[in-house]
Amino acid sequence: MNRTPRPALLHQAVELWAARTPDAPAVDEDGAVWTYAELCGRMRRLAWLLRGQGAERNARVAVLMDNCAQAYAALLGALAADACFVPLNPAFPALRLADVLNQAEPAAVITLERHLPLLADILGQASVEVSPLVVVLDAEALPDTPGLREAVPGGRLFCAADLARLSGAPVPPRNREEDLAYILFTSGTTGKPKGVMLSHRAVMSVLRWGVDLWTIAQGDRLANHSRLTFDVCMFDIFAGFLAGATVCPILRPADLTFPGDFIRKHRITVWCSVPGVIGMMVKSRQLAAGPFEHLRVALFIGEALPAEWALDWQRLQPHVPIWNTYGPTEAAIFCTAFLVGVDGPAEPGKPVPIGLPSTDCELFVLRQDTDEPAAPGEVGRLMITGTQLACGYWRAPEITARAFRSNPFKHDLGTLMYDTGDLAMADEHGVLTWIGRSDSQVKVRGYRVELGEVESLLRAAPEVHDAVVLAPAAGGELWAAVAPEAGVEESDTLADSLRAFLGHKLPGYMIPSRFAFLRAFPRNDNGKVDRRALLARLSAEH
Amino acid sequence: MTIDHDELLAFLARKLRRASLDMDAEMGRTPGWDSMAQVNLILSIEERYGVQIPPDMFGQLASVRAIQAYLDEAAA
Repeated sequence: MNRTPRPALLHQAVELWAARTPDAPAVDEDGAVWTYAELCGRMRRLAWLLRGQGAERNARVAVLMDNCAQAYAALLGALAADACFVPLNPAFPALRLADVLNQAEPAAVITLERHLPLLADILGQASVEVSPLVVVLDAEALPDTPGLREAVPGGRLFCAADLARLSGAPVPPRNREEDLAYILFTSGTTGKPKGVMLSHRAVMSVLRWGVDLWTIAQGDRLANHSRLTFDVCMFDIFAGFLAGATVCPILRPADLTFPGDFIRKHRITVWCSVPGVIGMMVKSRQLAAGPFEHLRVALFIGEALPAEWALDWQRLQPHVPIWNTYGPTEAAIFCTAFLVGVDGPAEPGKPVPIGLPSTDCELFVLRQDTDEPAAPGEVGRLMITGTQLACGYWRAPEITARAFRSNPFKHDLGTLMYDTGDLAMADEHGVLTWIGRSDSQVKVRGYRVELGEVESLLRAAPEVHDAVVLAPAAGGELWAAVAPEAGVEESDTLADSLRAFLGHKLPGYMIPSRFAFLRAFPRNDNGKVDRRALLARLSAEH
Repeated sequence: MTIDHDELLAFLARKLRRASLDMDAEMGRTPGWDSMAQVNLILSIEERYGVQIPPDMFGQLASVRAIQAYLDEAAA
């Protein structure tokens, strides 16, 4: 067994394993295996192409793909070219992806042939400043997609044949660990996505901690369930490659929703996802259909883990340790971990603790009204400091300054302190429990949603006079309460029309599953919508 | 038992809170029919039609056609 390497840059792990164990499986895509040597060769050729076209440190390379081996090669190639990557989810509306491109101004977009009509649509809606070169990894010849040639000038479109002609020699790194590795765009309060910038150092810090804590090594098989735009995905991919293990992307929608069969069939040893997956597997009886024989670690992150689901897991898969973890994108994937049943029990009706901080992070709870530390057991505002912190928000100095403040406490781990917006409490041993949010941000299937973003767009619909969006339960769905304009008929047809209206701008997880029509909203004494009363009323009618 | 396809369509539309559904509707491409709705939809199909759907079929019943074909076969 080779020891886990300690490279400074994310992509260098692939170089190291390609030299040590070139024939070991790096990616298993539903039975089609790429070795470390093959993955490394593809990474290098793409990096040489990007460098030849002028890629430089901190340049942005957009990756418009679903999770697959080609996508991993694209992420690695961007990094090896000294650039950082910006994942784009092909399931999102073109207008939203154009918003991201307008902000990121990428030097290149890497994609697959099947996404070219979408890319032409995106570039058609993006601002004129956005003029990336385009690399189509799976096209043998230059594609002739309508609209694409107009959006991408001659000599700026490349295909697999262009890559095949390039050198597979190592690409000497010019960037440093403080340079950006990726920018993830998440829901923003202003109605536009905001980009969180993560450095190689921040991400490598959490990977080393996780690989050590969960003893991930060669021979492990990590499922890749989270989409590329969700930072948990970076753990699946880069922890796998750091350890010389095999990453197994989930390709079929059915396996994403009900992954029990995938875990068994692909002999998965390390699982990481939002906890909602447990609920789906319990309801579909997949969790009770026999032990996951190869699975040895199950990590859950992205939203609160209900104790009932943790207990279901312990009852139905007693040999697989279940970990509850916590971490905002702004602190690189996860920064706390709690081993259920060992660090403490899961108790029905109580939130499962999120545990103790990672090696390179410090978390502390401040009182809700002052910057004084909260007492043990007191609910307060959760702050994070340490190496894992993001470099801030892309081209947004004001919101960066609000969220990343000067650390008034010990400076062992960093001079900046990230205000998570989360409410938490610590017990006398420092074990943290997540309580809720101090604002209107919610999580839907692990994705961050600013309710105000959905509300402001809904109010822009011609049929809508006013709108309030609610999240009735953790991790679940969104409900919209809509006051239609006078003369507009309230009906399922109106709900369908509003869904279609939102669908042009928002990804599916941000579109309310339920629309309730009211002529007026309940309001409190100061005239604000009484969200609690509104939720109670809608719940009673549900 | 035979499956009344019009009644099945109306039942699915009601469960997904849609004004109507057609035969080509499928999960992920139909507003309101996402992975969260899918599991509840299948459990309600089990209850309505008195069938027990095996765990490995839950993910495969992701379109109106697939649901109809499964129920037709179960009823045959």
